[in-house]
Amino acid sequence: MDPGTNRLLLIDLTERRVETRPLPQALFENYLGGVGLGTRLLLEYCPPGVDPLSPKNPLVFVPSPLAGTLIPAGSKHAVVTKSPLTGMIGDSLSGSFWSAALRLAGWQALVVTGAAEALTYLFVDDGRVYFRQATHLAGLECWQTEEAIRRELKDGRVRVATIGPAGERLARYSGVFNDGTRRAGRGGVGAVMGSKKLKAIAVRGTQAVQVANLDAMEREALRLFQVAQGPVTEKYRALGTPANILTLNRLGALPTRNFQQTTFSGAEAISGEELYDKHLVKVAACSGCPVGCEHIYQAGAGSQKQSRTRLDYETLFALGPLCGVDQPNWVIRAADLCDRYGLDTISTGGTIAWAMECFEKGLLSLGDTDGLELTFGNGAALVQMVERIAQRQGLGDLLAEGSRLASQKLGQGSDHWAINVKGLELPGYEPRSLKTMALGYAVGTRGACHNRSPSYEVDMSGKVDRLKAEPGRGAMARDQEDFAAVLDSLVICKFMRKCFSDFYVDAARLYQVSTGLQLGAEELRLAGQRICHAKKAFNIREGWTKPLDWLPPRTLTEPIPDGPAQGVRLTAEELTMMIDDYYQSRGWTPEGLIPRQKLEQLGLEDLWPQISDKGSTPAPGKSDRGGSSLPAGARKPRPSSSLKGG
Amino acid sequence: MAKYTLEVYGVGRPQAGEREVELELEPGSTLEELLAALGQQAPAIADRVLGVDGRSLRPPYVLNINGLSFVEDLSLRPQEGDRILLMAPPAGG
Amino acid sequence: MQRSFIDCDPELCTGCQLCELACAAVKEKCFDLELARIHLVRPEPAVMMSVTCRLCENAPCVMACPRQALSVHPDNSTIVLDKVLCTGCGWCIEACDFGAIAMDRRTKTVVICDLCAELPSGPRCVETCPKKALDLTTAEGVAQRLRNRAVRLLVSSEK
Repeated sequence: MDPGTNRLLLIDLTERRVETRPLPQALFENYLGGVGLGTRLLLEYCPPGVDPLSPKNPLVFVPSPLAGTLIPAGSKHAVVTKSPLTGMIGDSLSGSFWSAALRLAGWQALVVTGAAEALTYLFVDDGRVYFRQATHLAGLECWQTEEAIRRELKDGRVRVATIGPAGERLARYSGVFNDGTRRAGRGGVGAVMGSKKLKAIAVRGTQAVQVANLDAMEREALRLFQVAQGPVTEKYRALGTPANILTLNRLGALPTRNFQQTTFSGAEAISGEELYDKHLVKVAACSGCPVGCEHIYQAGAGSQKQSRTRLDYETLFALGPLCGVDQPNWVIRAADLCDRYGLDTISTGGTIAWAMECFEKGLLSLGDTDGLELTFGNGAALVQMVERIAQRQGLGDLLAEGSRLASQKLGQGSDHWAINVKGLELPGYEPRSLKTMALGYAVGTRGACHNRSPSYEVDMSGKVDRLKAEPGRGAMARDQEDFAAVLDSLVICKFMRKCFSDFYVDAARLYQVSTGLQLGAEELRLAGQRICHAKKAFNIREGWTKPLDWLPPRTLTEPIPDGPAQGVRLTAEELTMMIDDYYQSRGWTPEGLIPRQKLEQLGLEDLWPQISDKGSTPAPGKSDRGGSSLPAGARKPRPSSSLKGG
Repeated sequence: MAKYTLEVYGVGRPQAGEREVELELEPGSTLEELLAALGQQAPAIADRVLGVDGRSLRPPYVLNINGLSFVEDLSLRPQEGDRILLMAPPAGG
Repeated sequence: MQRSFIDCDPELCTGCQLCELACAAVKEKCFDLELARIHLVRPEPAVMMSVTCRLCENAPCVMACPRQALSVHPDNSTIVLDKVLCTGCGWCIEACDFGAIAMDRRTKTVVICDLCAELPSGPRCVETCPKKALDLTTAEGVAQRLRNRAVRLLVSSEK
């Protein structure tokens, strides 16, 4: 590896101190980069049991070691921290120019600790770091912030990762956005940044990125660029992921009206086909990507005309069918606002959908919503609600906490339809209809996630019956997680994955020509396992217990009411069986804990002291299903005997 | 002759109104034979999805019966009235 | 005979920057984007195009150089730099309407596209562009492309 670029930049915002640390080669051999290396750094720099919004929670940025080169779709970066939404690991991925800029500036990782006194932004200017006043940037939208900083620094080469007003107000699912349309969205990484009074990280990288074998890289890359124009990526380049709307709808797997239905009568109106026809402005790409999947749409007609945003399926589902909205103009407008304010669209849609159901069931009144008819399908109300969440105004203040905490506060049984796992709202794949995905959601370390656990691929493969829960799914979900962990750590965008004939062999080769590290296919596969275990170890350390691996009550009690899979149920017994199957396939205890020998096998024995005393299941009757808001290690107060007189 | 309905998702021109393709074949035909018939009757679609042999699908395209099961085995014989879906499986987002 | 230069079609360009990365690699043997002879310009997420030397008929950079360090190559009309004469004054950069000539901060002399004349496969960026947005073409070639597109848009039912 180029010793010039495998360095860590450690920034303490409290002390205004900057330090450079070398990153030993072994760290890359074991964790690759991206999410993997980010997790390892989090374990090192995050003290156990911290409040995620306290200065001690570090915010870790790790680009791909392939960023800033010709490796296709390699310019990505991970943002890793303890999530204020889940209390578990919060790892999020973004990409494009900012990722490359960090590497061009000579850095392979950034760890930000502490908190500034007043709103600040960091300027990483190649090897120098400046702490710059950002009070004049307070309240600015994400893109506005980027432009303001570029103007201020008088250089268009400056790339900016920023939070919006939502992150400044510590909305628990705010993100860190960069380059206009790229988003480290999930888990509330933006709130952590906001709690540090860190508005943005501007990077100017003008140095050279060296690679181990440039000739081989050029040849491999050129070949892959051609493959990336072929049928395996056609969907991404043509309609993009919004094509999922009609296919998932047809399969009865399109979560609609807060997961009350699995098909949406408005699917055609909100489909990828309709958006392509009437709203598409441009198809673009991330830096370094030959595929080009970025579909940028514009709302037409009336007051929404200014709204323009990149929409992918998840955003479309969360602000469309999930909220019952079938008008593209409203969805584009709502998504545009999420972009500007710096909000994760999945959690935004999921939380608003929860609130819509509360309103329709009479648990929230017009008084609570300040006169807003917060009903499913009301696009204007959806847009209004996004504004209020970003500003923490009125009901927006409650909703900015996420559906889990909001339903805990509201009570009255509303947790039944707070559709989240560990606090992270579910993405747009119906678990009752895709039972391997259901397992993947339940056991995922960052919460319900289709990216960390692409288990829906198993359900769509024809190798299993997606409507049945059977033994063997555990190993399949495990393999999907390991595979995703490798992609998320190399980092190579998942949309490239079908361009490889033998993924682990080809990916190892790409990693090798870039870094010079001689990792083989098997070592890569093992790294994926190791990374998943490191994430799990972090969670155990922070108080994870088995009841957190579960699914929301709606999905386990209500049968599918519509579509081709009408009548199908996912039962608690099925889920328990699959979870136990998964733990077994992982080599974990029945409580889902990692035994010492397993850690040793993966070279993680140094983590044993951190987790050896953790993870006892709560006593019967005090089940935590649905998640606890207590910080790890907290004890429930007991009645004091001294109160009873005497 | 039996009628089979193919529903095609996201292939070719995104706004193609030709989502449904009616195919007429011998009763008891296999999926493989259906795909060959598609090649004859709807070449615009077939060109994008069929493998070189004209009787199979190239990745990532797959078949699904009635919105329920995804099928890999092209020797399967759908029932008359079955709706056969042709799509790239939903992914990502 | 018309000069051939590298032209970018903004309709096809996705803003991936692979041209810039490939150029740096072939010219500098590393990814030093400051020394790429072609640059992706993407001022907004949906606005993008790559820019490089257009081999102007009456090259302003050549006329501007106070030391006559720039000249036009007799074979392919690319701009040729005499590094010994170049003082790094940057007057040529001021003169160019496209920002196609740039300063090498190490040598304090300028760099500009030479159409990869030494490569049998031709300009590396054109070879690399995954969307075929880059073309080694002439002014006439560009005009024909645009005329064709305009007519097809108007007359055909295809988008």
